Amino acid sequence: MSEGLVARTLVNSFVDGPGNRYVVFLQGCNFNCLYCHNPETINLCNSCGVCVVTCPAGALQKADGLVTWQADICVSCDKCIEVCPYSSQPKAVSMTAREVVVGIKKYERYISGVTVGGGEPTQQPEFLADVLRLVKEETGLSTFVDSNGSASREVWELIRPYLDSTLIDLKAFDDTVHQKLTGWSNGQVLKSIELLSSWDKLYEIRLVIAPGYTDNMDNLRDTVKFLLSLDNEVGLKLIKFRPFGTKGEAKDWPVPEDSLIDAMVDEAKALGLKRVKRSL
Amino acid sequence: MKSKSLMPFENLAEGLKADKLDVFKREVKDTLTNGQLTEYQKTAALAKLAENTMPYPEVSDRAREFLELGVICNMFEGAAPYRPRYVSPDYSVPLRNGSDYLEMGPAKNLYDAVTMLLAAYSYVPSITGFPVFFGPVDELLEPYMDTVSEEEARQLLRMFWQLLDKQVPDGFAHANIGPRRTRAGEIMLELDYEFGNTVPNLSFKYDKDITDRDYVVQAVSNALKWNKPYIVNHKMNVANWGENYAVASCYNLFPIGGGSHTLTRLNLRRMVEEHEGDTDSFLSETLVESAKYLVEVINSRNRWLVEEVKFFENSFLAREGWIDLKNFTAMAGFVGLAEAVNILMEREGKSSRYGHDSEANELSTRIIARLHEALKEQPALHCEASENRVIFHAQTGIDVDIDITPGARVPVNDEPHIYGHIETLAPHDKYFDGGVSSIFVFDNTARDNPEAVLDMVHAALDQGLRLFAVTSGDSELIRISGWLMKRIDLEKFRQSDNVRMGSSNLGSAGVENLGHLQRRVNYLERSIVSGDRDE
Repeated sequence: MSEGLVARTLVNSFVDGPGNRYVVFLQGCNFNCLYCHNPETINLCNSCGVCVVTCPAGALQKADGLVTWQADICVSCDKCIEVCPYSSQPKAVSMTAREVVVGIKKYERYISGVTVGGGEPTQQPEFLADVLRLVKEETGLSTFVDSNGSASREVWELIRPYLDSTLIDLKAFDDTVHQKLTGWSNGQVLKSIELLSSWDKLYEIRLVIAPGYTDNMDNLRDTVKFLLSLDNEVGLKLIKFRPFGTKGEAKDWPVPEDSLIDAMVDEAKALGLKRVKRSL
Repeated sequence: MKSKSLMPFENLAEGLKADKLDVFKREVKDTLTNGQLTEYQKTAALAKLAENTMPYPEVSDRAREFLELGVICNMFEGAAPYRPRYVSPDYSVPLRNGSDYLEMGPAKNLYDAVTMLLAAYSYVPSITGFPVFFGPVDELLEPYMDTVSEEEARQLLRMFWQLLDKQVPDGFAHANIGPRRTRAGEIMLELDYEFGNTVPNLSFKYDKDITDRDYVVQAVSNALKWNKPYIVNHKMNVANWGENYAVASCYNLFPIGGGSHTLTRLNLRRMVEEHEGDTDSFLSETLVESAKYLVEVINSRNRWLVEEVKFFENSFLAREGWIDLKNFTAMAGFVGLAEAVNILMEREGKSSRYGHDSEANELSTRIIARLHEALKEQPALHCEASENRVIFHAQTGIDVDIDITPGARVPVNDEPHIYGHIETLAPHDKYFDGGVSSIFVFDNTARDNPEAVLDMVHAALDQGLRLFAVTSGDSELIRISGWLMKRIDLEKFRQSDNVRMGSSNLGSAGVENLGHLQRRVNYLERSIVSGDRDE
């Protein structure tokens, strides 16, 4: 049974797919987005120890060069996340897929399904596949993956048998903008979207409306036209950029006007997309 | 200590005495000059003052002492009741047969049917002076939907739904919809979503084996916008009452064609405060004794109403078969379970707290089970609908309640995460054949995902929860306890304008005393946990 690094879990979420869902966030992401809202999930902890002295509860310790975290005395103040100079956190824990699924099953009666996100969940493909497989084998829950879409076809093939559907970020349609925002080309993202759509495993595309990058109608129209060309009927969720959790230059970005987001929702619908939502 | 629910001049044994005449006149004058009451509300208040000059129906000295101590509370029901507290007529009777009293023939089409119902409602008494039950409005009107064009049907239902709010300005007035999808019911849900009126208070009878999924999703979407309808566990209620039951007023349950003579309640917090001894003796002695006197008080009121006032001999509702004494019962309510449990735990030197710890939660279930048993041991007068026993009701509170949590609820702002919340409440609900309500607060991300709320509803109902009330943190309608008021009415009342809704006057004090506006939202963040700790 594979082991994976889990950033955290949520026992209920209304915003990660259909129905009430249990969410597993995996640690580690290949993208480095300017506006990342949970940058503490990007890198694996390098045990630098900066966080240890700031912990008010004494829940962090460094011994033999390794930073360890004691869950039972942690007060969840997130001070360690705030001070981490390395876009990581000391609270990610190593778990087997079995342990993850035991945690999920405690809440089975309350949820429609499980969504695995991150970080970037496809960065731990064997672990991801094991978690999804066990959920499918042992529960009646649906399985979703929330991803940046950068994974190769091989990774999608690996998890396909245990995967119900996906939520994929398309951070910008124009590749130059995408590279500025994320540090990566969107070529593989577009391919993944087409692949998942052809398998009827694409539930929703997510687009963060980021000031100066994607707060324009051209990007929206290009995105919508692309989605309309796909095999299955996919939803689009527009997410208003918020500075919460961000580090670096995005902290000072303005929040887009609600009227702009509403106009974008209207435009996407006018172009023919049926399922369009926006964040609050 | 004198009970706050008694008026300052009341004398339970003898009625108004000469030395309290000045107090009585002052109350009358205060009512006459109260700018926050409409004329109708003044008339009702004056009638209540007059009624309360009477002695109570005769009870033993000990039972009267319990009333005076506030252990037993009469819920402002008056010293000498002259109509049942709750009446739930079978409105299909006048629709089918017409009414000699109203001089109306049987309804032949939707025009007739809507006219008949709106006329009928003004003749149905209750504690509030308004009807507390509009009937299963979808089933009542569905048979007439084909008698007019679709457009006419829609217009008639629109008029009907609007007039319920304008003619019956009282938030307790309760309509029922479901469990089966009907065209009338669908239109009513649409109208209720559109209007956002306080009236009707609305319950949706739900059985996942009978109700279409998109129909209940519509009901949940309405609830996320307006805090109603309430999702009612139809299977469970059918097991107690059969198909033909009413959800009326503050989630009270009894048969259609009947009602409840009275609702009198125990204050568990006051009982624990008066109790000297340990938890076991509370369960075996105080609880049992209180139950006995509660039923005695209830019986005295039932006997007075039926045998002295002769309500059922004098009412045309009974004469024409809209109601029948054999469908009546009486409700024994309670409040303050949370405080009772926490005080008993504290006395044992334990920090276990209701809603949060299993030992406290287990004690709560023991209290409820024992009280239920003790109540059902006592024969109840004129309660044929429930095998001559009272029915047990988790009461939703009145405006004078301070630091007393309604029924079996967890105190506002102390609610655990929703899963634990459901698991705290569900084990009691099987005992509450007279109704109960549990309120769950959702933030507005739920509005985009009513199916997620439905997941919670399913989990709750499967565990035995009897009624799931959805409240959205920022709705324009504020849930007081079992009824709703408009935010704007609360503001008006605070600024001393009178408001149309009689129930809003009760609500403004309730809001301030019970902290409804602060009712905690189940923010998703609360469930964020780190690593593998998912508590």
